[in-house]
Formats: sequence, C-alpha cells, structure tokens
Amino acid sequence: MIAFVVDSQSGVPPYLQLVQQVRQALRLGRLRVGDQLPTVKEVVARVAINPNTVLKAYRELERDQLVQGRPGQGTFVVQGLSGPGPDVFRELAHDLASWVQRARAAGLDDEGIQGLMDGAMRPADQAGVA
Amino acid sequence: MTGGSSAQTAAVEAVGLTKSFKSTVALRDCTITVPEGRICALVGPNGSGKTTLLRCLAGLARPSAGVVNVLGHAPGQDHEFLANVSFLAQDVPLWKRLTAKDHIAIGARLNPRWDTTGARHRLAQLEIPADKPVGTLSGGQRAQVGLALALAKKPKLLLLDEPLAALDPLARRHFLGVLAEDVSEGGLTVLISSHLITELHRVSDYLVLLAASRTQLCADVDDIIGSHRLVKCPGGGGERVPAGVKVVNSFRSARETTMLVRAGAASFEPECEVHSVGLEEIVLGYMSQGAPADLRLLHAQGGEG
Amino acid sequence: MNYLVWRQHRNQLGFAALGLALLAVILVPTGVHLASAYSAAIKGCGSPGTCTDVGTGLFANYGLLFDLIGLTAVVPALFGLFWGAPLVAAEIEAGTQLLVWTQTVTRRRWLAVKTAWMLAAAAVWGAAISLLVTWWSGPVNAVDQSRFSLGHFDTQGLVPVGYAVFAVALGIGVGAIARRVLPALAMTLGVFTAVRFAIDYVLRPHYLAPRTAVFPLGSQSAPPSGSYWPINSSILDASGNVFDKVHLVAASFPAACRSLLGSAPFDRCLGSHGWKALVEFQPANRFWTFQAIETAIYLALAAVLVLVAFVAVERHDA
Repeated sequence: MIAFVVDSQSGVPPYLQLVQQVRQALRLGRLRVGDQLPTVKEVVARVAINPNTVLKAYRELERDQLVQGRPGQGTFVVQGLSGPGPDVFRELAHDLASWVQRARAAGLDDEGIQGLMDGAMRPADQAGVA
Repeated sequence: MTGGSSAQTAAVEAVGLTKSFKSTVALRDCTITVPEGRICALVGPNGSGKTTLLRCLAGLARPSAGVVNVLGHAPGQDHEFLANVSFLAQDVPLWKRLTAKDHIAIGARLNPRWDTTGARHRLAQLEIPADKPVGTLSGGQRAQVGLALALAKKPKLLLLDEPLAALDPLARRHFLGVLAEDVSEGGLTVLISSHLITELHRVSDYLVLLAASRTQLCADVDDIIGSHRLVKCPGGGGERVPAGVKVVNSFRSARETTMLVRAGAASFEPECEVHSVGLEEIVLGYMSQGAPADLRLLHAQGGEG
Repeated sequence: MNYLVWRQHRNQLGFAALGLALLAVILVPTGVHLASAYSAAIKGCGSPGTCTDVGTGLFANYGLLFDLIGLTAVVPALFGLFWGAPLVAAEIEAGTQLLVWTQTVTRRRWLAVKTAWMLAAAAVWGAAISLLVTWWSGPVNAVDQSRFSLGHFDTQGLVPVGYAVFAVALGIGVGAIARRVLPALAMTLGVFTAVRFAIDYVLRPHYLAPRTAVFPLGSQSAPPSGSYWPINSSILDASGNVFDKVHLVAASFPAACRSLLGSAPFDRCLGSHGWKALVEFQPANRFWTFQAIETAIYLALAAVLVLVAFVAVERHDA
C-alpha cells in the first residue's frame, strides 16, 4: 500500500502532494489497477493532516477516474495513467541519474543543477497547470 | 467519514462576544463561525484572547456581552452541553497525586460516553506509565494524558488550548495524527489554539485569527490562501490599489511597495508583481499590523514566486 | 462523583481514621480502669454529692489524659483546615477545576457531593470522638459536677458534631472565596477560633434566661444542688438593693456586724440582718438543651457557609 508523505514547507498544497504521489506511484508501477489506497483514517493518523485534505485528494483522483471509492470497502485504483509504461520511466530515471552525475563531475552544486532543471522545464510548465 | 463536512451547520458560533475582567478587555466584539467537522486553528499573538474565547466556549467563563452558541446550545450547566464538549486547558491541569488510570476511571464515572479502552490503549502505545502519579510524568506525557482524557469523553466539540507547547516534534506529530484520526471518524469538531502556525497548518482546514482582542480572520484555510496575494509594485505609493482590495499590511521602501492584500482576483497594474502567499505569511501579516513598520512583512520579502 | 471523592480524599479520611483509632486505644483501656476505680471509690462514701473529695485521689494520675481530652476540642479546627479549606481552593489553585467542571457533571452537583461527603465525615468523626470522650468522662462528670465548664461542655455531647460540621463548612466557604489554599487556611483558623470564643463567652450563658436563687448570706445551703452553672452572683442588702462593692466600707454594713468585717462569721452576721445572696445560674438539667441549642447554632452557620460556597462556585469565572 502506498505510504504518503506531506511536506508542509514545500508550498505545494497538501492535497496536491497526495494527488501527485498517487500519480507518480501509478507511473512507476508501484500502484496498479485493483490496488487499494489507504483509508482517510489511516492517512491522517500517519501523516497528521486534515481528513478533508485527504478527501479532497481522493475526490480529485476520482474525478480523473484513476480511483473509485466503494462504500464500505475503501478506495481502489481503477485505471493506470496513460503514457509511457514503467519500463520507459525506469530508463528515463536512469538517464537522468547519469546526467546528474555528469553535472556534478563538471563541478555544479545542487543549486546549479536545480537552476538548469528549472530553466529546461519552464516552457513546459507555463503551458501546463502552473 | 466526514460525509459532506462543508458549511451547513455551525459547531461554534459567536456574535459580538466580549469578555472583560475588571478593567481589562480580554476579548472584544468577537464574531466567528466554525462549521462542523473542521479542525480549526485558533491563532493570534499572546494576550489576543485565545484562552478567553476557548473558556467562553467551554462554559467556564461567562461572556460580558454577545452571544455564544455551541452545538446549538448556549454554554451552561446542563448535561447535554457538558457531555458534548471537551476542554483541554493550557498547562494540562490534572490531579497530581492520582495516576493516569485513576483519571480514566474517574472520567468513566463522570461522563455518559467514555472510551476507557481507547484511552488506555492510547497511553500504552505512547508508553506512558498509567500507574504512576501524573505529577511524576514529564510535561509532554501529561499533555498526552490530557488529550487522551479529552478524546475519551467522545465529545462533539474539542477545545484545545495550546496543547502543543509541551510536546517535542515527534510527539506533536503523533498528537495531531491522533486528532485528525478522530476527526476522520466523523462527528467531531476541533478548535485548537497555538502559536505554531506551521504545525497547525498541516491538520487544520479552518482558521480563526485573533489579534488586538478582535477577530481578523475566520474562514476556510483554502479560501484564505486563495483570497490573499503578496503584491510588489515599483515606487513608494500605495495609491494604485484597485477598488475592493483590502491592504492588510504594507511595507514601503523608496523603490518598492510590498503589500499583503485580500481579494486576490483583482488586477493590479502590469508593473506590479503578484505572488500567491502561504498561510503563515498571511497570519504573520495580520499579526504585525500594529507592529513598527520595519518589522512588517520582513518575513514576506521572500514570498514564493 | 462518589468515586471521585473517594479517590481524591481517601488519604485524608484514612489519616482521620488512624487518629480516631489512636485516640480509642488510649481512652478505652484508661476509661475502663477509671470507671471501675470510681465505682469502687463511691461504694465507700454513699452518694456522689456528699463525697466531693473522691476525685482528688481518683484523678491524680490522669492529668495528661485530661489535657488530651481538652485537646479534642481542637480536632474540629483540624477538619476545617485539612478537609474544608482545600476542597475548592486547592482545585482552583491547581487549575483542576477546569478539568472537573468540563466533565459531564454540573458545578452544583460536584460541590454538593464533595461537600456532603466531607460534612458527613466531619459529623461522624465528631460524633465518634465525642462519644469516646463523653463515656470516658462519666466518672469525672459525676464527681466534679461541672459539665458546663470549658473543656467539658465543648468536648462532650452533641456540640463536637456541630463544631466539626461548622469547621468543614467554614473551610469550604472560605476556600471558595479565597481560591488559594494558604489564605483559606489562615482565614479558616482565624474565623473558627473567633467564633468559638465569641459563642463560648458571649452567647452561651444566655441561650435561656438564667434562673435566680436568693438565700440568706452565709447560709451553707447554696440552693441549686448538684451541678449548675453560675452566671452571675450579687449581694442584696437588707432593703433588697444590689450591693455595689464600691461601697465596701464599714459604714455600709449593719452596726452589729462591723466588728466582724474580714472574719468568717461576717457573712452569717449579714445574713441574720436580712442581707441576701443572689445567684443567677443555669441549672444542670439544661445541659442537653444547651447542647442542642449550641449545635443548632453551629449547624445554621455551617448551612450559611455552604450556601456561600455554592454561590462562589457557580459564579466562578475561569
């Protein structure tokens, strides 16, 4: 079962952090169709966030038709994310890791790397949700 | 689950609540509404009346003026009200010579609904000795005993006065987790006062801000965040504020004016930068309203871009 | 609520029980011994009234115990200090009223149950001590015939119950107003002592109008036989006027007696010239009436103080 983490300093609203974590888990294949999400009670007890935040995240995921709440049973994954499969992801992650390694070797610190990443992502970001 | 926890019914309603002790006014003309099923953070600087407000809601203090309505009742000496409201006072008063077990056993005899097993289980989980006089426990342990008792009562409204102060970060997280868990089971509304806005922000979805003995904010946290913006405009003038926008706080230097404003949808002049702003900055912005100008918005200078 | 009272106050009650047991251990054997010694002693001398010196030999070794008996008059004050004063004040001082007043129990009921238990305990302990002391003092009462005197009247019969109940109620009332233990203790002790003295010396002699007895001066038969409580005595001259001692000069007296002034037969001489002694007194058979009246006074005061405590607690604004 997926274990959520919420970083209250990140600036990203907590409900969105939960949504992103579910999506990411779906992308990476850590969550599959049929898997159950933790109950609201379990989530709030573990990460100490407001129950309505969890409900809001689950509603959002339901609206995207990724999960479905079944009364009395819980919330289940009903659909994976369209897009590249887990294999592609693993490959991309691998590429990125080696790129980061090269950047470090070239003398870049974390801030420099982050700057490059942000720069490379900006156009895509503005076209997206922001 | 909380099944449609939005603003239909109010767990707590106060209109024009004023409380004065002899010559000092502890709370002035406070008007708030907290819907059922929420975890409401009650924040404000020292002496802003948080404790007084909570005690008025708990029926411990009588308002000097105004109306208080808690779960549809005026707080008073009747069983229904007393059974439905739990209050955990600051500094967690307990009978020092009695054990946690004694306290639980006493609670079981004084309250119609009482979760003895739950309370014992909770303390066992935290490895708090239930057989030692509570006077020998640490401040954090006593706070946990206090919370266990407050929850064991199975209240519909839980009023917590600075419960986090005595707890270490890990215990705080656990405490808030327990709280959120109980709220997620439905039928419970929590008002929790604290200085620690960041900690509370995690669990609370409603916020009441008192400052200078008055209510400054009382709304859903998402609405608060959605309606506030940090605006930086070149030049020292604040005159370019569009109609309908309330400037909460502003800081002027020769080149730039930084303002925390309410009503975010309004459009500012193009040369102004408009940033979204976090809850903590908003709260601090309101709290520093009366503070010297150079202290204002210092925290907000680096608001997210 | 009863459970709460038990958990909170069982130590206090335990100490009181221990004290009572200790007192019983001392008084029961000595009392049995005293009673048998007394019955042996009066066998030799007929009726109690005629052998007044029985006591001297009989009670010679009991000095310390008489002191102890006298000290039991202080016990109610201790109840007031240890049971009464902290009852509300200690809760408010520790802030635990915030805990208990937010349970599903009204303040009124909380105070009612606690007060009822403490007053009942005070009454029971007061009664037990009084019973012990009254029984132990049987021979002393018979010999000394001074049940109205201080140290007798206020350690026997009903009044110890009244004192104990009053002291606890006083402590509760004062504590509810003072809200702090130390001032409550000081005020309880002060007020209790003041009230006891005022009632002992000012009020008690006048519960009922005293009887008066007039008899020839110097006659042996002081009219009230047995135990009585003289309140006032004066001398009436031949014409029935109260003789003021200011006029204690030879010229004030009948010529026949002047030469006897300062000697024993002087009084008898005055008596034979129509001078009389007037004694105002409370007769022995009023002992229980007086006990009942005094107890009622203390219980009434206690009721007022309990009422004060209720008002203070109901009005308390935390």
